[in-house]
Amino acid sequence: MSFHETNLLSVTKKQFIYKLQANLGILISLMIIQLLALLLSTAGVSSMSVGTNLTIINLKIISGDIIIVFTLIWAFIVGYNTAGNAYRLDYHFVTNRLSSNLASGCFLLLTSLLAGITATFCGVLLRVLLYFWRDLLTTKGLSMAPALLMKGSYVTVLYACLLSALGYFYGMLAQRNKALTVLIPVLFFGSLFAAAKDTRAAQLFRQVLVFYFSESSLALFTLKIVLTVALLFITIILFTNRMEVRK
Amino acid sequence: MILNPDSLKPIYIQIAEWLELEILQDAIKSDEKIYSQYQLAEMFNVNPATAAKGLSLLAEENFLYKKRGLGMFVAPQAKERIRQKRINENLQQLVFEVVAEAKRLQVPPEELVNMIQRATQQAVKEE
Amino acid sequence: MHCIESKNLSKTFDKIKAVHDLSFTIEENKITGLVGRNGAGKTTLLKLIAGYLLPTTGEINVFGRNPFNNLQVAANLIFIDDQLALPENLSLEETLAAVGQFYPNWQAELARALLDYFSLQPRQYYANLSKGMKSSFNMIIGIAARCPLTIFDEPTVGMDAAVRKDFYRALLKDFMQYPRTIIFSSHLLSEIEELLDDLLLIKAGEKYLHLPLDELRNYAVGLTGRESIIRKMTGQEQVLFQQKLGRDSIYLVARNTFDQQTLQQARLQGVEISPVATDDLCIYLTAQHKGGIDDVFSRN
Repeated sequence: MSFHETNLLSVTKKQFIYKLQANLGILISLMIIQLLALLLSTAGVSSMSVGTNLTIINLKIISGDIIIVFTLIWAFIVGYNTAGNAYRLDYHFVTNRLSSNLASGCFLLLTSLLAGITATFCGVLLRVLLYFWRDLLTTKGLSMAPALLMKGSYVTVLYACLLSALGYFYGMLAQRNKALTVLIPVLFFGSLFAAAKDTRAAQLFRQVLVFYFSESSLALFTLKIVLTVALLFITIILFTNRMEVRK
Repeated sequence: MILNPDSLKPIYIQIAEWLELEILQDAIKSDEKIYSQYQLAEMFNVNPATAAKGLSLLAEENFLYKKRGLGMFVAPQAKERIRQKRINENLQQLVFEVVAEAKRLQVPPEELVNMIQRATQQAVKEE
Repeated sequence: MHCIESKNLSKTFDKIKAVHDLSFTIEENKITGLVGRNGAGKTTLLKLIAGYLLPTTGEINVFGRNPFNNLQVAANLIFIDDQLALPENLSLEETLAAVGQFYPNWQAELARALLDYFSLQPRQYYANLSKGMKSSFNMIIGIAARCPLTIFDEPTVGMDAAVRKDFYRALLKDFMQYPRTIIFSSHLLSEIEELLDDLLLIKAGEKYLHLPLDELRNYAVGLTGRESIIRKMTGQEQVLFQQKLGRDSIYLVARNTFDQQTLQQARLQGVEISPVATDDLCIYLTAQHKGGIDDVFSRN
């Protein structure tokens, strides 16, 4: 019997691989939701009808936005599930809270990467499909320059990171206290309605959205996301470190 | 060989007695290697530490000697000494128990001796 | 060297003392049995050792360190109970491979061979297994990991007797090939006692006994015979269990503080001396009433 010394890096690596193996089904779910989004997108994002007595013009605007939205929701859910799995599965084998969170973080980074890239290319697929399948009045915006594609993927990946991190955070809170599982959605959706009104909370919420979504500088945007995600993870690591394993 | 779990004797003593029997019956002769603790643990399905205790019981009474790096061996004269020990301890104990039972049943000593003689004759016949 | 050292360990859940002022040491490379009634605190103790729970007071050291949230300890320890959660999408053989990578001593061939022996299909899924087969699989992981500290908490739930016997033997054989510290908590003491070096008996969260098995077998003795004779031999404090048999006969279990002569004399007086099975002994020691359940029925 010999005592085996180990280090954080090797354990985190092993846990990361374990999570990959345990969650292969996730890729399939990603494909499915993106296909669904694709189908929905063909129905158009918005439509308009213009007509006179003799002619009616139906205008449909199609974009890959739905795919992105679906993918981001998926990223949030994956984050949430990863938190649940980490809590439920990891402790049986070699781990401490830090390695578990780090490995989860790396896993979510990978899934966000995949999500962002596939979402963008799904958008491309959409355009290809429509080109062959429908009569298009205008091919404006049909082809995308590689630079634009890259930029689009990059931004989507970052958004996915943000949403996975939020999902993970939410998932961790929920493990701690089941009551929060209900409380947070209620607060969130409630404030959405509040956003329509001119209350202080609504204004704050709008400011937060503007902070992220209206950033035009890529570098600044990257910085914002990275800092937010880091903050979320550090908070999680700090507050799960003294957590016992309870059912 | 199955151990007797209901016996008052601890397992290591049962193992020691079984080893003594092996020596008495010449299954292992003088200066031959006796079973190792791991072999005994496997045979009797017990913890090796228990088996080791059984071996050390015999070693304490110098029925076994140790050869460095090779294991435990049966000491010369071990068979005879075990025989004597068994007579003075085990057989004596059995005798005592028989006497106690006889007393309980109020069987007089002479009848007890008769019973023993008859049993001995029977045993001789069956050999 | 002490593998596990506990000093005045206490764990309280909402004012209930699950473990109270527990102090003991467990040496390395020994198989220790952990027994006690349901709710005595065995699982809580094991979880404290495994670092899943934090002590309320007192301390616990595993390999000389605090096991809570400790990577070094976790790398050398495995805890097997019936709550083992495994990934749902992996087959049994994939699970073995995935779990095995965590443990440097992992015996892949042994695990595979045990899988075959217990008729578990490598392509099956854990979730589809019966309770007994899940326990079998869990135990395979526990044995094949060869962790320096291996903890089993009631691992044989649902297994039939034949499978249990095979497992004890598999554990013993692998232990002999590769010694390690094992703690085995089970209700079936009679089945595992030959496997054990020591026994730790927990009563109401406190340490009641921690002895080698051999000493435990001599701890108490059963006396059957005339009540008057037996009562003269034993003081009330020594009595662990008593039961009336007929008009003036009793069966009494007492601490074995007698010497050979006293016992011989007792035999001569018609008292039958019998050993006390270890599992019965543990029942008597942890009992609330000296007469057992019969007290409920003889309360008139």
